[in-house]
Amino acid sequence: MIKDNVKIAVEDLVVHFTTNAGMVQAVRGISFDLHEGETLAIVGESGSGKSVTSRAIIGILSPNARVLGGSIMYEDKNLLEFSEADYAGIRGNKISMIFQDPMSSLNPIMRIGQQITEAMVVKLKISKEEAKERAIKIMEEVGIGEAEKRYYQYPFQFSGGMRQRIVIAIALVTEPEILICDEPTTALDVTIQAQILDLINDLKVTKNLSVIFITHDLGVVANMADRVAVMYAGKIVEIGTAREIFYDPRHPYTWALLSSMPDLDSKEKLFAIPGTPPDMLYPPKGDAFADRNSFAMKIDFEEEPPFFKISDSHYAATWLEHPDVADVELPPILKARLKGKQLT
Amino acid sequence: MSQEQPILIIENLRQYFKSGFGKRKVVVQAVDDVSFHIFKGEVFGLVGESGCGKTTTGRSIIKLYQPDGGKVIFNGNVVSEGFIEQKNQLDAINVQLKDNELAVEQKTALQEQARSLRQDISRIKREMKKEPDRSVMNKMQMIFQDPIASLNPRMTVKEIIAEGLRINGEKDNQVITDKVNNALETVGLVREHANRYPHEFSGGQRQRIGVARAMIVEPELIIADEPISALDVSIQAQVINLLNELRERLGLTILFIAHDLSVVKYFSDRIAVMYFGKIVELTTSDELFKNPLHPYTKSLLSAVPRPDPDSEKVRKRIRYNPAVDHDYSVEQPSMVEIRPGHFVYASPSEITKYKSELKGTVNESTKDSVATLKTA
Repeated sequence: MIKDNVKIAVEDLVVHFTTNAGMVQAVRGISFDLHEGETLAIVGESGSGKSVTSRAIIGILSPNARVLGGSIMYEDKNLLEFSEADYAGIRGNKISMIFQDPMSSLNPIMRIGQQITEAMVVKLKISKEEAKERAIKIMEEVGIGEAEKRYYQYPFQFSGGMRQRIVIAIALVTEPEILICDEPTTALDVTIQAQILDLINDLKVTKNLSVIFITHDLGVVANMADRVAVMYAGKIVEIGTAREIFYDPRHPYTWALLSSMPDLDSKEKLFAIPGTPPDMLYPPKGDAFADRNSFAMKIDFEEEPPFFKISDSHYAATWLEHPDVADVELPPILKARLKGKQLT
Repeated sequence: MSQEQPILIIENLRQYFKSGFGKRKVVVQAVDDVSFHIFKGEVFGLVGESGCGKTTTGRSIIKLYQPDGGKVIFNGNVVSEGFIEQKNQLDAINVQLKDNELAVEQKTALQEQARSLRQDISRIKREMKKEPDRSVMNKMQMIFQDPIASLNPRMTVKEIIAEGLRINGEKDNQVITDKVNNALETVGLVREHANRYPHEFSGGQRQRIGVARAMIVEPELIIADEPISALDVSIQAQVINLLNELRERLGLTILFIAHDLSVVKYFSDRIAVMYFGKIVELTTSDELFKNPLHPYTKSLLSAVPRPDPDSEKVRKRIRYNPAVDHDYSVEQPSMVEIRPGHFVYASPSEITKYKSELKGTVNESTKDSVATLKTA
């Protein structure tokens, strides 16, 4: 059964896609909980399966997806067993999603107001007048000035940041409990990104949301996340609180991610992860990251590492954590950066 | 560094885009009076949010657009020039000439001025109609943002990379193959890749192809227009390291256009911050990050998220509102060198304010040269 403070519990989720070339094993058995009121960030490079996971939760996988196992528990019900009609009661009402590109997630030939009220009229069965009132209220909440006038405008009359605010307004208008943000700021500038992140953080508190935040920008993760799950090749390789992941990373892939990103103070050569992510048609045996990992041992190529517990909230799937393995030196660039930063 | 010869000089560059007619005519001043120098061998970063004109500046420099005003001087040659300033002056003179009460001497003086302006304009028009001098322009190459959109999907990698050579009249297949192989190896790809198509490569590899295409004509200046924004984090580092390596090995000069400040800081020697078509601050990267002066620079720096949860929790974002932060109703702002190597766009009263802010801080832009003097 699902624990009290857990909103969504994903267990052993496996999602494959049938393609002409064969089965693409996008998500290969991942488990995590989303606690009430927290922001869980899922980090990984493109193709690591982070978007597929979030789409599986909200039930919008493409038709060629095959969910081969696992469960997604929400309020004691398994979302994976839901029919499309069942899902209609949840999607938008209870769980909402914000997408990456605010231009392509809005209908270009529909007025903003209509796009915001559409969900309310359908889902909450309220009159158009009431819906308009609520829409204008929420537009003001997400920081759109002159909402009355803006209500009748089209998406092209809005800037990128404003469009993303509209998308957030649409997602929040039905007062969901869970918000899934799929790279909501990747298409935006730093200054606009900062505004949108602040907005999501504020709304999270005022509307008591639990947020799943998908991104590949570690700076954004540090800003937003309470907990972080690092994904690689369809698996979670490390999961822990934000401070644990940033100040005490254990998996070589997390090390690589952290040291490939320039800090405002870094001068030395950046660490570039060699090679490319594995072809998920034929996922490698053992640790998927072993090929690109200078710390890989023989066992990494043969057997998949289980999760090793580091603390109550921190787990890492790497053989380096096995009690029989000697401690290894952190990559120098990371060592320099973590100097003076204490976990406690 | 200042005694070195600049490889690229931009003087009062203006690039306007017009749309609509009559009442609905809109002129967007995408780049408005921008001037800077790039010295040989340095990486010059150009940052700003989208729509501030940084990409347009890059494109005007390499003559993808015909500038409306100002000059681009590359290696001592004027590569492009516009005449909007001369035209405005001429219009003003014509208005004055309509005044019948002018003295005769005044009138002739004005007519003389108008004639020379007209000559200037027609000279610029003539010059700009000419075929650009390839031996000069080839030394300037561009790398584009999106490695998928900037490579023709129907051409093999060899054809893509060799295109520049062919345009320049290279016909010998053996030479082309050799040079292409060479370029591929320079950017960390292998010869076998030459006969493949762009779709067979990952994002990082595609951007390497873009770099190889720029490198094949042996340029001295590379304009890199957000070369890493479309790439994954792990791949970004590969491309930055590649550009860094090329720069050290071949002595390249790079104009690096980006909006990611931590990358720009890491990669650039000097940085110019652009806001709405104007450069608002220009200095060395250390100085810019230590002692930012212009409120927009401060706001931009405060918006960069760092991969460090503890500092993120306490980070305060500074908002920039030009209507509140500046009062330009009395004094006109201009670009001022507030201390050696540090330029800021400000009005005289703001300069005094900034100067007092700077008191007691170390000038990072001259620190290096002082240090080298001492050791020598």
